[in-house]
Amino acid sequence: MSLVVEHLSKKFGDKVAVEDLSFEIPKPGIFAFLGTNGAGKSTSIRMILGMLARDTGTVTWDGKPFDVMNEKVGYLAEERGLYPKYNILEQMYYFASLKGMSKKEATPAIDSLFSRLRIEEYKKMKAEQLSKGNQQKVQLAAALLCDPDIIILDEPLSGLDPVNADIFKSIIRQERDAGKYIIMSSHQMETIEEFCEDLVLLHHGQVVMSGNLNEIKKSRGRENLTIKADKPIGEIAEKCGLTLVEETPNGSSFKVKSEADAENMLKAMVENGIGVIKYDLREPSLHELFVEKCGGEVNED
Amino acid sequence: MKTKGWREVFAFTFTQQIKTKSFIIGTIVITLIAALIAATANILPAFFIDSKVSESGSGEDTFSIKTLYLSNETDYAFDLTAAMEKIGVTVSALSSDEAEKKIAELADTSEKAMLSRVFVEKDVLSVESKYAGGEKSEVNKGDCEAVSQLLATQLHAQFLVLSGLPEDKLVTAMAGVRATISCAGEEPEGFVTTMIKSIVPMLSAIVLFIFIFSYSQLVAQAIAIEKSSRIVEYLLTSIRPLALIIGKVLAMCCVSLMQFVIIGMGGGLGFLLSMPFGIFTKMDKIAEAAGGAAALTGSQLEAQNVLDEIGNAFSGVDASAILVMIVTFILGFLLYAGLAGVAGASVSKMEDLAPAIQPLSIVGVLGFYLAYFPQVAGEENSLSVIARYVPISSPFVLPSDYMLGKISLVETLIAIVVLAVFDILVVMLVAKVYEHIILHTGNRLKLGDMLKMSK
Repeated sequence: MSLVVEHLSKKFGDKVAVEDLSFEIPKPGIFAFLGTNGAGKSTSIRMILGMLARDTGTVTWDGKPFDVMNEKVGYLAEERGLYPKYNILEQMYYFASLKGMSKKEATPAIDSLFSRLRIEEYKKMKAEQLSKGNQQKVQLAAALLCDPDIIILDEPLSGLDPVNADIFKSIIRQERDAGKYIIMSSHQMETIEEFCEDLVLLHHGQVVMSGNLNEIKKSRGRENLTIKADKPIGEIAEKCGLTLVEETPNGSSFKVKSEADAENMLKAMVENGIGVIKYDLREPSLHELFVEKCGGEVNED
Repeated sequence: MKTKGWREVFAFTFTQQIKTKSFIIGTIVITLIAALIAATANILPAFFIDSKVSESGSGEDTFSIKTLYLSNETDYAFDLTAAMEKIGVTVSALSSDEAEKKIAELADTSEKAMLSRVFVEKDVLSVESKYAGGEKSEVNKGDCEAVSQLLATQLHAQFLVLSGLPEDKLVTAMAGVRATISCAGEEPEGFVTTMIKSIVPMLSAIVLFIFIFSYSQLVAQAIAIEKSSRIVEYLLTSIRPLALIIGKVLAMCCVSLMQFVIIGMGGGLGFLLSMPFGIFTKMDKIAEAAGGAAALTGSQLEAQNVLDEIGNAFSGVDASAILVMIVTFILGFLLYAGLAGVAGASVSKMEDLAPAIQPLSIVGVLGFYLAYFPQVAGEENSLSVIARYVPISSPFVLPSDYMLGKISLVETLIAIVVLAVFDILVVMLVAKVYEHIILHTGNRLKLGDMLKMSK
């Protein structure tokens, strides 16, 4: 089974929200859906889920048109919410009934999810009585209630403290290991690197990077060099063709055009009797790729 | 299917709404008020008649007259024993001479008695009564007046029969002549009927407007809460927008109808429970005590006539009238709640809801006044006809107009069909608009924006 998104486009008036978005999730796992604020991620997700009409494009699941009403889909929206005045358990039963589950079917699922998320004691409370983090946990439980095949998590970890973030990560891992197809959007690049193999990066509604993260990194080569030395190295670095990015107490960071330039730099330092405390040549991080592709400008709408 | 899941939305919305404190407390308080008003409306007239009669004497246990000394100084063989026994008074016949002596005795006695002389003076049948006086006397003047009034009615009735009037004509003779005046081509009606036909439609329009409009606003509020709390985005992974709004509107419609029925039942129950002390039972008791409807006194007859007129005015209240009320209530609710749903969906923040509802409020108030003003005017006019067929006002007019017989069943059905067709058009428009604006966030959408987005 695979989820295939092809040529999705959407305009609001004259403004292009999403243009020709295509990607495929061919096997279970976590797919990263990235972009700056206002890049079109939420619009794309809404189009995939059929909440928003597409101008062009198709979404297929297992070769057939994807209809969220006929599939088991879990969705944790970026703008989360619960009925503030209603009892949590009653809300969960309501969500379960909308997914076609009886109360009898829903009860063990709710118990299990609330136990995994450590929120059993909040079942009888009203949503407005819960902290933001606990409300977020209830919403994740609601998203996973029907044991979905496809899970869409829009910024699942935003606003969570480290303890709750770890609980969320653990649940996401469990779902991944259970063979679910997960689309995750996040601005926390470390989290994406930790979980995702494949990604798509949107900027101003257009795909600016997509594919397997490791392959993208490999294709770029090791271009980041960090050196900490016991003497100044600025002059040598310039002679070797290195571009200084920043200097910190932990060392100087350079961009190198090729790994050969980095090796020349090391040789030059040794030849000049400079003591090397730290020498780290590595691939670009996702954060760096993101900033590079999306530039310094972001769209705050 | 676009409406799949509406039942779940309906069940959840209905259950949650009837569990709210505002609904429970509001329903209990208004039902109690309705019961109290109905009971008061039943008891109060009886109280006035009762106090009149009690003062004038028909309270049984506290009645201060036990003996009536009767001196019949006419040629007619009046028999008042049976009528007086019914109110616990024993009749003791006296000659005119004995009567003179008795009057002297009654001037200072503890005896619970009164004396009545019946005579004809200048062709007028008269009764002159004296009640026991003095320091020891416990006789109440009011009781004496009641016995005297009953005596006069009985004497009048028996005089007519003794003069040759057949007994089956007695009620007619005693009721006097009822005079009415009306315009040619119109049915004559009494003052009470005229009042009922003016007041009931006005009250009905006000009550229906309050119910339909306030619950429509709750629909808008519920939808705005779903939007402002962002829960709607989650819901739309399980259900289409159309099903969401259908479930919500129908649930609120049922909640309001249920509250309407509960309050109505409260009023009915208040009326039933007050029956032993109410005007109808009182009138029956008075008639029974007086020896039949023919024996009612003038004020009692007036009261009976008022009750008869009320009964006649509401004679059109049958199953069809109740059905018309329920159907127009539902259709009216669908119309206003559908529009309110769009108003609710046009905002992303609760604080924007009031201005979003404002245009709907204007439409609702226009509809209400279109329904209300012709009723105030009282007479049938072109505005009252228009009000029945214009969908924004017809839900407030049709039930009372049909109930009071102002329009025929056929006219009512035509007006209902017009309203239903308009409802369908509105629901189709609402469904289209709602689907396109439900995920909108940001500033409140104006009508033009909504229509543009729905193209």
